[in-house]
Amino acid sequence: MKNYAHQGDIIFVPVTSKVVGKKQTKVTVGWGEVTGHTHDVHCDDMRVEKTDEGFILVLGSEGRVTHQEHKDIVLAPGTYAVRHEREFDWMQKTTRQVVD
Amino acid sequence: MNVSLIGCKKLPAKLLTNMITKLTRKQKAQIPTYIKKWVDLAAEPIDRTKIKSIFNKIYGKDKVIVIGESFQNMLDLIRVAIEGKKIELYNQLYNQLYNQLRNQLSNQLTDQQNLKWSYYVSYYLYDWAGYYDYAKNIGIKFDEASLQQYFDILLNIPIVVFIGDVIFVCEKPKISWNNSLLHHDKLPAIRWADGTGIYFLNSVRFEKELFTKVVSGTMPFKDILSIVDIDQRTQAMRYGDVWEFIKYANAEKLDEYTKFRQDGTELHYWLYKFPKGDIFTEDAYYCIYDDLVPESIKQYMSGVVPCSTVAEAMSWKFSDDTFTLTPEDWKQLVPGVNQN
Repeated sequence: MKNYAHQGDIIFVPVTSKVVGKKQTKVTVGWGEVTGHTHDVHCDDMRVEKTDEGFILVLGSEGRVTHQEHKDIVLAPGTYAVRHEREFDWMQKTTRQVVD
Repeated sequence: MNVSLIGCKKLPAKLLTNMITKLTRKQKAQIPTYIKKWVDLAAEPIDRTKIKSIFNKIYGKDKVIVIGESFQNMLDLIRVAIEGKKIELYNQLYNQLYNQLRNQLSNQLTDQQNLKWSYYVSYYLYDWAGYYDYAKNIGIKFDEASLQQYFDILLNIPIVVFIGDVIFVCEKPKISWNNSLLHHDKLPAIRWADGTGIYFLNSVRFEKELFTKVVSGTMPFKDILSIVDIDQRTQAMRYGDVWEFIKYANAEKLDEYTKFRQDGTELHYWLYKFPKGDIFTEDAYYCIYDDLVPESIKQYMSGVVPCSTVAEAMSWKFSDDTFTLTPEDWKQLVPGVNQN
């Protein structure tokens, strides 16, 4: 089983990308426009790179994802691409990222 | 101005002269009282006589202080005050306060308008104030004068905008809560005496126009489904029964799937096909699913591409052009373990 992790409308996908990234101990990877809630990743040993598709996180130690409503999830050390939930709008007939 | 006085999150440690390491049962029992006290204080009117003395103490001289009766009124007063400079501060400032994009837009405004301004909203410090108030009550010793000044600032200057030499202070709004969520289904959950305010349903913010339509209970379901924001759509669905809509639209259930949380409670998913007709111009596919948050009774309804199982639908939702989550991968996500 792969180390996927899912919280609300965000999914963390294990990847093998080689990234340099910036050292951070916290990064907000999702923000709810009408709720003001955020998905925050906390890790003492983390590098963060912002790409066109989202974030790549390199966790040297265990990380924790927090949110004001959802329960925390734990991320095992590794490299993750942060991806966002999508949906199909049958009125507009387009695919779009879920907005919350 | 000594902004740090307003902005300080914690009182300096030197002001705390003793420490309590264990609470008695009686002390623990008082905690809810102090939470309620400070939640209520957030909606108590400001003491206008104190504001002048607070700023006099901070600046050491008189300042022009303008009180807005509401957030809207304060913005109007600001607009009037800077009229002639032909700037569009009004909406930008509103968005500033609202979205707290302080750094980026603040620089932008300052550069473009050559106007020095800043703002502060102190509500987020009320939890600290309640904590200090409680701590004082159970015997922690504070520098009384500093603590009182801290409380006075928070209670009487909840929203403040500094523009040049003028200080604009906003009166406090009334606030409606429902299960600790900002909520009112008739009035703005945050509202001022002049009738203006900000609308919320279960802490989800709405513009007045959409709010009015949603709470009327007569919003056509196809319009509800057209709401782009999924949280607003979910709130709107509460005023239009999704299961009634399924019956009305003669939707066909294609699949259902149940996951189990660690505590044994169930998490339900359904996949429905809505036939081409009055509402949809072609067959439409929607997943309906329980909120992952255990205590929540919310159900989401979200469109998916044509498929025949819940696992296909949900795995599509978490895939994109560069990454595919397989239906089996989605089934392996366990609520309470790697899915929350």
